[in-house]
Amino acid sequence: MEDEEIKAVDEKVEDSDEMRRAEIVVSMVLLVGVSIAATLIGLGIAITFIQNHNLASEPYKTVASRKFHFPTTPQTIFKSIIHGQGIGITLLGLFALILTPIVRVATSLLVFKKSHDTPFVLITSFVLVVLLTSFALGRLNL
Amino acid sequence: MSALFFDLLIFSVSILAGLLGAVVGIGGGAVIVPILTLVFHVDIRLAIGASIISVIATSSGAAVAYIRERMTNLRVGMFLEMGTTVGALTGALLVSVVPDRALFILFGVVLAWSGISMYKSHADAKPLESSKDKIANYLKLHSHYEDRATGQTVTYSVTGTKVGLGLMYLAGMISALLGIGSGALKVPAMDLAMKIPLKASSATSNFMIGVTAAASAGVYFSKGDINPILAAPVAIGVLVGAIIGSRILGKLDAKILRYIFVGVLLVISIEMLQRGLF
Repeated sequence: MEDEEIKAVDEKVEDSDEMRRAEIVVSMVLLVGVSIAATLIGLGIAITFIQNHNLASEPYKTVASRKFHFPTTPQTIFKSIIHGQGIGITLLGLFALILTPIVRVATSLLVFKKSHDTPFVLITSFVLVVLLTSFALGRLNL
Repeated sequence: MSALFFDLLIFSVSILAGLLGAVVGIGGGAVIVPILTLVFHVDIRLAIGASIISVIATSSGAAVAYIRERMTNLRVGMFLEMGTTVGALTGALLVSVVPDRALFILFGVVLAWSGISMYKSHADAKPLESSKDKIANYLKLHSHYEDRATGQTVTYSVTGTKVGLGLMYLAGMISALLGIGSGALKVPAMDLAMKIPLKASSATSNFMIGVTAAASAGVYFSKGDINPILAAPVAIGVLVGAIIGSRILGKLDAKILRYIFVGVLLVISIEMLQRGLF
């Protein structure tokens, strides 16, 4: 009898193949994003300390402060990576981590579009537009 | 203290932050910011930058397990993200205008408020059986999850979508200002206003905080507030902690979870208020 009760409530629950697919896609995107980011960050920071022996022994207050300068634009980060600098690789990893949730929103938009779930296509599109706007504004703030 | 030793220490602290953050759905920033500023006297803006990274790492690291276990309500999460992202955008634009002391006080007050309201709410309240909320019904936000602590399937209806969305706007704004995921606000909003069971609220908050943080991360990144020497050990430590933590939540007693949550909020709130007021 209890089972029947659960079934009755369950009919209102969105439990379709679409949601299953969304769940699988979303968790895959997160897993891949996190793995790439962690690898780059770990590798990058190890290389940074190996490349600069002075940095490792420097007092942390000068390194973890505003006086410590590092690349912040895509161009300078790219240049740093090309020169094989650990700091560039670390920043690329951090950037990959920041991108992970954004890619997650974009892929769920595609899943909802494929299953013609119009309200959620609109919702995820809106979220994506706001995210991209904030990124664009971030660049302007320079 | 040398930079290398500092990084190793931050890495260990971050594992704990990620673990706790994943379980209570708050992103670990609420642990990272006070430790960096109060213990290590790191510039608050850099601490916030590192915390933003911690929030994204906690969210993305733990979400994988929560989604597979079906504890995350994806539809509610994505719906509420409309509020959090717009709020985060507003907050990121205000951050250079708001003074440090005000940030500490705001942080403290918000956490104290969340703690008190979570303590007052009833831990064993029955989930909502049906909902008159038109938006929740139209968007099919109702869901269920399996509680591994009791072995029962918990089916719940969702209500209060408008209030929830409004609170998420505020939460998004505060998280951009303070570099926390503001799960500390999201969880009570979902639990109290939308009647979503605590475990599902926690997992869904965890899912959303990554996107909230990412919305303001671009701004922090180009301002140079995300210092790689500081953010790298935080990112990796928190990821490790979050993955471990995400395996614990399902098995935890909801009542214990509530007490852990309240305790964490109150302790940090007192620390931050003290910092802002004296």
